[in-house]
Amino acid sequence: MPMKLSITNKVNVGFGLSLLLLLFVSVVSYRSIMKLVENSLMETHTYKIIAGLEDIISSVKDIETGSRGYIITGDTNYLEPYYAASAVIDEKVRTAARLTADNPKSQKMLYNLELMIHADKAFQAQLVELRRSKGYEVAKDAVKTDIEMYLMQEIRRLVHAMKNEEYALLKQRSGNVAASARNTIYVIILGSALAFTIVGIAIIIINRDIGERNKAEELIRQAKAAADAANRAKSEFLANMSHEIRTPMNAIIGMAEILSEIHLTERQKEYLDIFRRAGDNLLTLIDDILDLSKVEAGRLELEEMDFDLNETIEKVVKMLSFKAHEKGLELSYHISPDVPTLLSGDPNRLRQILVNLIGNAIKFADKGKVFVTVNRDKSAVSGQEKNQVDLQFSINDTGIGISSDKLNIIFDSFSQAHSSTSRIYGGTGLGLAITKRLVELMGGKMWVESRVGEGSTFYFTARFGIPVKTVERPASPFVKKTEVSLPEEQKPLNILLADDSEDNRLIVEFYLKQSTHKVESVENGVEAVNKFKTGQYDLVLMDMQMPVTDGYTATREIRRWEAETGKNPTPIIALTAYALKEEVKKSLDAGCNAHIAKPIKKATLLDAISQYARGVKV
Amino acid sequence: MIQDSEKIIIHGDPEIADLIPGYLENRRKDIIKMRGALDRNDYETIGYLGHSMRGSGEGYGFKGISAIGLELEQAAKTGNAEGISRRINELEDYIGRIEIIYK
Repeated sequence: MPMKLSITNKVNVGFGLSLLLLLFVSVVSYRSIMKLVENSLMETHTYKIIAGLEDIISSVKDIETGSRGYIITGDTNYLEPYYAASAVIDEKVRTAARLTADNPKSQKMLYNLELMIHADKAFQAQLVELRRSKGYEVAKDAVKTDIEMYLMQEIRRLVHAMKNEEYALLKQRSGNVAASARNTIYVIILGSALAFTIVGIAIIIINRDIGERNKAEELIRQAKAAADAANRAKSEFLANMSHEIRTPMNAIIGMAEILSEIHLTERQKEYLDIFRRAGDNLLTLIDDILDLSKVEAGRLELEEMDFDLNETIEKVVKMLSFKAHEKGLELSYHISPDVPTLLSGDPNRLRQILVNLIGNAIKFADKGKVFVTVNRDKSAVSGQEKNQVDLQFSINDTGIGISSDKLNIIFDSFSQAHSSTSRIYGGTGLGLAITKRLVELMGGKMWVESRVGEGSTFYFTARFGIPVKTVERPASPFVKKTEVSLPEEQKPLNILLADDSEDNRLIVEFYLKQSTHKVESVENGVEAVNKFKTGQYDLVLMDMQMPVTDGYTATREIRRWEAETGKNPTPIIALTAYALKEEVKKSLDAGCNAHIAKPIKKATLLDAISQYARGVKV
Repeated sequence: MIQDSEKIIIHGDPEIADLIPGYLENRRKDIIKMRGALDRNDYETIGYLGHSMRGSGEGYGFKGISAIGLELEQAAKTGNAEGISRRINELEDYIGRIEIIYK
């Protein structure tokens, strides 16, 4: 670009120039038109003058004719046009004088004309007087002099010259106007063409600029994609490396454990202690990196399972209360009564968040208390579906607090409010970064309110499901397994099991053999559909990931067939290796009535079957 | 690095005690199958077997098998031959060291 102008400026310059040109064209056109109008007026003016001159000649003739008639006949009737013309001729001359006031040349000629007319008038008056007083002969002789002829010739010559003068003027003016009109046309054509060219060039330049800008944006996008990919690759690499490091680390720590049981000298014990502590710290760091890089690589998937919120929080508090009491801190919690106890989500990750935040609170508080509360998050209703609940957790401590300028950096990786903090309090500085990302994965946000010396309150929100369709897994299947027995009145069911894994078929068959139910097994989706069509089944257990035809397709096919043949839908329970929310939704969308996540526990399985066997056909 | 004599104690469900030897035998077969598949770069088979182990392991009381199954599934997805090889060795080591106590 020759000039560094922004697109807006180019648009302004281009269109501004065009507008100026058009304005110029308009002014020129206006002036030309005004000239045409003026000329047309001038033409009328010229014709008026010419008519006036003709009129003067005609009056002169009237005077002469009148006087001649009277001289010849002596009849006073002839004097009538003579007097009439004599009376108006001066006025006519004056009018002509007025009309030609702007032309000195005409004025001069008109002055001469006026003299001649006066002379003629005087001469004619003399003739009339002679006729009246001296009679015809005297008057006739007077006429015979050359005076009258001379006067008449002079008058005609002057009028002719004046007319010529006017015609010449008219011609000159018309010529000017024609030239100006021609020029105007050129100006209009050239001006418009130029304006169009400028606009055209402006459009081309702007388009080129936009093209360049798009190209630049595309480059930026590509660079960003490359950077993202590099970042993901980095995280993947970290995740893999961390994993590879863990294995030998575990061996090292394990060996240290074994060593500690052997009789050692005090010094050896001291060294071993350092050895173990360093190992533990390293392992914690690796765990943190692993978590963070998994989150960043998008590899951390939240599980979706039913859990008891009270139980989860109680466990965390119990686990940490020892540490709190050691420091003389009080650790307590309160769950608002309107918070549903049974939730669906990832209790392990929730526990991780709580352990981190409560652990921090304990770490940074030397006296006072740490208080955990759970409320419904009433502010976050948007995007929330039914069967979902947003909860707000707060962890309040009476610790050292965080100064306001550090509040926004504490959630960044590897940062603690003070670099000295890690020396005093330990920690990798990754905990809050991971916690924040976990919270975001749970559809929530995290923030902190704090005052130096008064303590801090960490808040986070998270969205959980409220279990409806998914079969509840007993909190502790080994405890409850004896309680879950088939109701007496439950009739034996014909169950179709579709699972490609022999191990899974074996265990499910084994569990069902102990009940009154009968089970038939198939290995893939196609067999499941065929078997279903030919047999009489009360319930189907459908593995979702199967080769050939998967469980989703098979389920849809069964539902379609049922609809076509007018049969009541048979309950189908989905079995998946993933307890992910999408998997559950996908199986329910395909037409399943419920969902069991593998590993399959006996209690869960029998529970689900009995729930759908009570003749409740959905 | 870890001594072979170290046992992994598993508290098995006595109800399915009869199924467990067969289950572990199938895993040994899986190990052979996966080593063959790895030689052929047949990641699909490894992924499938890993996925199945992931789904079944814990049901039989072997969390380790589920965990290794998941790792195998993921390593197969990315074609990480070295990772797969390690996981197969781990599985072999794990199966060799488990001792099941029924009570």
